Amino acid sequence: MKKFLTKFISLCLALTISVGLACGLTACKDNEVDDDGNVVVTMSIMNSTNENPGWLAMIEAANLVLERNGEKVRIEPEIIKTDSWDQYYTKVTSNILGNIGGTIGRIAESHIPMMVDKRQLADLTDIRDELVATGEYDATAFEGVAENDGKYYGLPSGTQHMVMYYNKTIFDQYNKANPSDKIAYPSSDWNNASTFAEIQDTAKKMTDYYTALGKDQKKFGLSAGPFLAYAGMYAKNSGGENIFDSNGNCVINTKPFYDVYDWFTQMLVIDKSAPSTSDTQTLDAAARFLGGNIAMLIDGVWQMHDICKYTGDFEIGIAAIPVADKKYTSYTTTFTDRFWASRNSRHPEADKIALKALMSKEAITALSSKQVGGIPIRTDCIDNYFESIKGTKLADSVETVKGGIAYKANVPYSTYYNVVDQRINQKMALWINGEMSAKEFVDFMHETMVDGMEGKL
Amino acid sequence: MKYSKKITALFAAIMLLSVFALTACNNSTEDQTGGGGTVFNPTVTMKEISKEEYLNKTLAGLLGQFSGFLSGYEFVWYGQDPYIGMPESWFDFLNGPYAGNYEHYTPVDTWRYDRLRVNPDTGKNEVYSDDDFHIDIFNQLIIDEFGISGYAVKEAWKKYKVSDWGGGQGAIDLISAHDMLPPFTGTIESGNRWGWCTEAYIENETLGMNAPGMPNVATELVDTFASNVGYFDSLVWAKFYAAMYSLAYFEDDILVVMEKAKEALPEGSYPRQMYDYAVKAYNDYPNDYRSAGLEIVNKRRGLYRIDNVQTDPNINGAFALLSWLYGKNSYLDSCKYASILGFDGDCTAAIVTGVMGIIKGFKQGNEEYDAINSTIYYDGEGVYFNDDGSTYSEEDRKKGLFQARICSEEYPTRQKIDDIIDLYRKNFEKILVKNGGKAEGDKYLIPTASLIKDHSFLFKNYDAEERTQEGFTAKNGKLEVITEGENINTHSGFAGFKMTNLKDGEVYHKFTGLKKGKYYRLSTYVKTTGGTQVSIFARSKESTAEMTFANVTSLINKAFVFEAMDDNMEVGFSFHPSSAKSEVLYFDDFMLEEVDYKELSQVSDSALRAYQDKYTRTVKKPDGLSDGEEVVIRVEYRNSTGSTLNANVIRNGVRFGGVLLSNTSKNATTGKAYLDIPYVFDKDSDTIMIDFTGSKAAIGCIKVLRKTQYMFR
Repeated sequence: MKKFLTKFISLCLALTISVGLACGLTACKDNEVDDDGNVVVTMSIMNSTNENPGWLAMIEAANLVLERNGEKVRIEPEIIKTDSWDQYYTKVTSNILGNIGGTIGRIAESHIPMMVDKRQLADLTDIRDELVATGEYDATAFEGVAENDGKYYGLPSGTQHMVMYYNKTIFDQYNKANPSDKIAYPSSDWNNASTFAEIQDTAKKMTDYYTALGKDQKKFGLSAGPFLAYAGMYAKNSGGENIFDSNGNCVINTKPFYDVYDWFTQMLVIDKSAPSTSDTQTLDAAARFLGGNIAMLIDGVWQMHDICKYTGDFEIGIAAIPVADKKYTSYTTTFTDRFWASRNSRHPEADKIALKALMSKEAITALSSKQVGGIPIRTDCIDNYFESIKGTKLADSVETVKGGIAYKANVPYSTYYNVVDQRINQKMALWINGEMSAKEFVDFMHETMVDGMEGKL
Repeated sequence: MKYSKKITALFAAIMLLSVFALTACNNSTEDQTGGGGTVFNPTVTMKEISKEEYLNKTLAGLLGQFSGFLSGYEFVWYGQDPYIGMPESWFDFLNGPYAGNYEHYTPVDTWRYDRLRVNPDTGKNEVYSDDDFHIDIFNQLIIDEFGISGYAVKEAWKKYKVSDWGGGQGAIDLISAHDMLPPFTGTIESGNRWGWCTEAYIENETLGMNAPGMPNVATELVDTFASNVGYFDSLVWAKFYAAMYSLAYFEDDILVVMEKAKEALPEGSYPRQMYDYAVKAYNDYPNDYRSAGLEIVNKRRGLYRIDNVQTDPNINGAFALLSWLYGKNSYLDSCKYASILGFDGDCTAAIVTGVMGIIKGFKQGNEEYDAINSTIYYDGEGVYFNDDGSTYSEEDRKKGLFQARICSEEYPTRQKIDDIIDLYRKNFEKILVKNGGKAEGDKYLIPTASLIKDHSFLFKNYDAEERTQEGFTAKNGKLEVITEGENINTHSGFAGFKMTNLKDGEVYHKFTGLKKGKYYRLSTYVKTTGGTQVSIFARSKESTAEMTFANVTSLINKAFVFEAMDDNMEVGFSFHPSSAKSEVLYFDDFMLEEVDYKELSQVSDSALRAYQDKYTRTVKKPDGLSDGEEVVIRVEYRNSTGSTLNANVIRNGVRFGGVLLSNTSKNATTGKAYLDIPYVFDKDSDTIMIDFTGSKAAIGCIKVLRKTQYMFR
């Protein structure tokens, strides 16, 4: 009897194991569970040759954290083959509809409001609360576009602010050739930044000097995109407000904005000390700066990686964003890209576990070690990020970059922001080509923003 | 006022629940199986409608089409996304973008807008043609001058030189190039690049006004006319809307009309799911049309070759339903929501408002009457203009290509709206008599009936969207589910099946609940590796029926009709015995329905035999056929040329029309399929030649079948 029972139990056990294996096999076929029984969470990332190593390192580190913690979840990257955020957005939102591709991912801050509005994103409030409660994260980075009606639909993947890069070598060459009219490096002090007038003057001198050397020697003094995303930053640096006043009214049609665009007009249209849209059609401004064709470039910290890698023997410095007057503090437009999770995922809990692993110290450190993803939002990872820069040609500028963190000017993204931005960009060439005055252009920006606010676009 | 709104909302909710409860009750008690299979001739109830009422409702239906079109917003984008739920303030009845009002939205192609223009000679507006209704109106000429058949449609399109968008453009291209007959003109295999698009339903749904109270006649008309320009879900929606147009003559509640027409949406199909999603979204957001719209858009699926998401027939279908739900039986509110919900809003508004017109009639005192009368109808003086300015581009104008115009000079440039209505009446009277009704004095006696019950057999995962192999049994091969962001190897949704052969591989679904002796039709979408031959089989314990296809290197539709030899049948695919182990079959949307099959005569029971260039046969017209009545001549054939053959059917020495002989076989000794020729006899006995000059094909048995309609085209 005992033998029979033993045999019977063994048989049952064998059957159970067989069935279990069979179930495992079936599950394997849907590609959502790996051979070790882990739920595979696919993460969408945009294709960027320079940034991919950073994101892949982050995923690898997050997987080690998951393994260490005994979580039956693993992250697999899915690189969407585009380097345009707009195309990436179209692709991932379509994939979400079809429940194919990544159930988590990363996306530019500007696109988050549309994804929230389309109700495609999972509520991540519980993770946000848990992370913020640790005190280990920059709590302010969680706010903004991803918050809607008290719920959070995204987690910050890092913050990236604007700085002014300058090519010290070009400055030094100029000063050597013009000992009686030397120009200073731009200020790196966020509380005592160079003024618009100083930068304008420097840009003109540089342009005039190098243009006079001949066509093949020509350089531009400055490149700074006059885009809506940065307009609020320049307006604040002119004593104005960031697109909207405290009551939510659009204030683009105020003096600080007119002044800023007059400044741009002087350089773009009159002095031609900044490359026009036709100049940048052949080679964009960042590439021109890397090649030594532009002396000063206002751009984001995301360019540091390329600047370290592709500027050859040039010595590069980093300065604060210019201001209208020394009495104003220098602010810097700051972007906070987000991690998201799909609302219709078939494994929402696994997605959240994966996201928490991506927010771990190990994962963020892995990312920041590659100088990718911007300033870490986990405070104990920031030093590591800056330590990694200290080993580069930008070592002397670490404090300047770090200093900018305190002077954020966030872009007031909304569901209509991108439409407004598109409309304004479509008109921009008319202004730069001189067919529209700076005032007319600023008025158009204002009217378009108001139309957007009123749902008329 | 607020109290009144609440009462109205409560009433609407109760009505909605009552209608659904009532219908559910009906489903459980009404015998639709007839002791085996579907009842294709539902019980007839004779109902009366006065001629005056018919004319008034039909006028209101057409004016509703015009009004919706002139009010609705089409393809409005908001950044990178379609604009869902535009502000209510954008709605301006009879004064939307197509009336030249760009206050809220300026189309990028304004040159083809402004379809409400003043005729300087009369000082009155005229409604310019648009694809929302130019074919609807042309269909009335077709029925009057040519009759009701695929041949009639083809001949009319050819004679009058139709210009059209999308699937209609594809159809006229094929008619011009190959004299091709519908339904071949609407298919992927023929080369109609846009058959998936909206034309099937936006251009044919008013055929329901030729069959008031006779929804099955309406869907049959749609089956003939709409399959000229499209296939798949667009046809399903066309039948649903046409049924609504038909049913609306005897109903006063849009919710009842919707629910009764729902039988045209096969249970489990994506259109039917959209119906249910729309009702749910409305119940979840009874006061928030935008949120309901967003919920619907989040249910969007891929569709083979779709190139503008805003033309998605299924999203637009759900938006039409939402418009009626939020409209709460108000003509203007229904028009409003259809106009501003988004996507193809001008077309949706035309459909929605047309049905509301039939329900309400065009009567003084109605909320919409004065605006319509003073803007387009003018107490009967209103005119419809066959627009000659709406080109796609200046280059197309030089070529004589227009987006919505009947180009022949024989076609009237201007028609009074009342004259169009009279044409609807004239055609209705013919159709009425043919279907057992009659005109008596100032009344019509109409043989009304409910829609034939849904007779589809869609099982869970018929479309692979469960992302599992559930529902299918695979043997001697590897069955996988593939997912795609863009449909290339899959037909609809985001997933399809891939079967890789090992040796004699087969994959099938076991259907239960069939009725022995009844006929069934499988419609599915397939693709193979180069040179691969696959059978579609229907197998019982006793016997197997099959047809084949071969070398299908891009996705096409295949249809297979078989007789159930048992109540349970295995239906699926099998690789040819000579197939290599690496050969692949992709398939998707594996849709079965019962069909109303009737063989009228057997012409030939010969075995397949090869013919060079042509095959000729004398075919006797079956007894009882009326003049111009369409039948189907089903020809067994084999084509092993490696590709689809364009063939001509020659009737008594004169070209009747072009058809397709699909590639069936990898060699001349195996495989076969069936060519269904939509045929109209000219004499009591016709000499019919199938001309495939330059090629060889084998021809076997031939039968003449009564024409029937299918749920899946």
